[in-house]
Amino acid sequence: MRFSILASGSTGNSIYIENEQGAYLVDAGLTAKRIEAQLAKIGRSMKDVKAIFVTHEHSDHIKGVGVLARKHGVPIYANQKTWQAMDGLVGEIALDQRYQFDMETVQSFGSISIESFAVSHDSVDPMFYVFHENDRKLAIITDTGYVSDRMKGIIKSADSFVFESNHDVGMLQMGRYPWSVKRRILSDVGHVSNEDAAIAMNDVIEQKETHIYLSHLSRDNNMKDLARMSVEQTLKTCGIITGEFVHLKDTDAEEPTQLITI
Amino acid sequence: MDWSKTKTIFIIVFSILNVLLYSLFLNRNADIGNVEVMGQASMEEVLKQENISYKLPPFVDKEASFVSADVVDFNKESLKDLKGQRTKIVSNNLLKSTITDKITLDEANDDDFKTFLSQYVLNGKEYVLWNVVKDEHKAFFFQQFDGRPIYYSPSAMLVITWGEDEHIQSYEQRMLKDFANFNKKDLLSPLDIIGSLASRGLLKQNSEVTDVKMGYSTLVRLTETQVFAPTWDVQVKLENGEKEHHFLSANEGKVIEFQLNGEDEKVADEEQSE
Repeated sequence: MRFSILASGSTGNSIYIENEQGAYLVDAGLTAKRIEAQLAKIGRSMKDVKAIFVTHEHSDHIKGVGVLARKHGVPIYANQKTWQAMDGLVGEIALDQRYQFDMETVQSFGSISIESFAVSHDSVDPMFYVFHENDRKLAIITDTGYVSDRMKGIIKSADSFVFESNHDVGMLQMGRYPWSVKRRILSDVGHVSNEDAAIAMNDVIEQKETHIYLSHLSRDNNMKDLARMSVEQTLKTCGIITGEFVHLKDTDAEEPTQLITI
Repeated sequence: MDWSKTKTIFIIVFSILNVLLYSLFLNRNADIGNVEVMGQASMEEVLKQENISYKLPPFVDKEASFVSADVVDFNKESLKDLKGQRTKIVSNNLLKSTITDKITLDEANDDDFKTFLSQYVLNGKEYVLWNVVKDEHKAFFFQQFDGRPIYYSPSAMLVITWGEDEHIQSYEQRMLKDFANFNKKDLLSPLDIIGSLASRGLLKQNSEVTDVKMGYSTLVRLTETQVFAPTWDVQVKLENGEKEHHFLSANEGKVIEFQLNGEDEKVADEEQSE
């Protein structure tokens, strides 16, 4: 299994996953044109994409869903409430391209099994996915106000994590956002801070080579270096020294990450 | 009904409507343009009305990085070269020193304490004099990085104290190390910053902005590392001759207020050396 984070952040999110049998996207939160351009940057195209799995209906996750579905005839998967919420936001999608992926279920696509799980976010029925192939595991968890024990149980011991590290609490509190927005981000249905992400990581990392992609960074209340330093130092206080078997990786709103094999 | 006439009336009415909408659109764009011009003009107007003058520095940086640094934990070994003083380490990162050499304030104060700092203070050359409070017999210094002071960070300050006899008594020092630059960003210009202060009514009547300098202020404190953001220090001379400093985030123009609050000093696990 190989994957690349095509884009990450409040301006748009999309993750590309492939194996020998096909390719998949988790979310298409950029315009269709930009997703195609991002795929071209890693030497891939939409023609191999067999499905798009939608996490929730926020525009930074579904912006390109409708156009990609119509242009490439690609099947779209989401849970029932998310489908209802997406109607009117993504335009007409043919019935035979609309598939339901229920919360807390597993669906198999060739040798890849995809497991959905609930997160805590201010959308109708948000969920994220864990990709399993043989004994390898890729866990994607962003857009959640906190990481519950149940979520930890599902993502635990993944080989690679796409993990939300949204903001620095100090920067957010001192920043220019209105108080209502700050309260929303800091709430249980908002986003996970750098420190909280690291504390959760400590509970799900096993003693093996693990790659963690710090994702969905706030443009105004975080910086790549700050997120990395913050996670590194919090993990250190928990006894995990990054660089030994845990490797922190950056993601970007504009540039896809290198396609890596897990 | 005469459909031909009705059609003509519709065409005429919609043509007039289109012309009207287009003229409204043009007016709106013109208004937006005027607001921007008014913004610049109104700033100059406010400064003129309030009789506020300003001098801009001849050379200014257009971009600057954020800076990270770690707090120094002092140890006996690092203090072994300090002469003419008794040192005590408090909570690992506060150095309290009592000067045993006889040094008058006049001697020390020469050239903004530079000689004293280089002779008696660990990495003394990194500190720059900020303020002398004669009533309290204290002089305050800020550690610098790349020649830019780190404003009011308790982790990067030095305070020298003298007695009634005008002899240097002691100093307290905290220090940062392992500075690193990251995330270079565009800065607001000094003129933008002065405009921002003026529009908020923070510049007093008949005052003069004498200088605008670049430094750093604390953005975030992590468990080991501190992160500092580029900060403009706007120095203002008031009508009565007093000086004022206004600090603003150099990226966002946000006003920063500092408070010099004494951190709790734990005297546990202290070490002593001569």
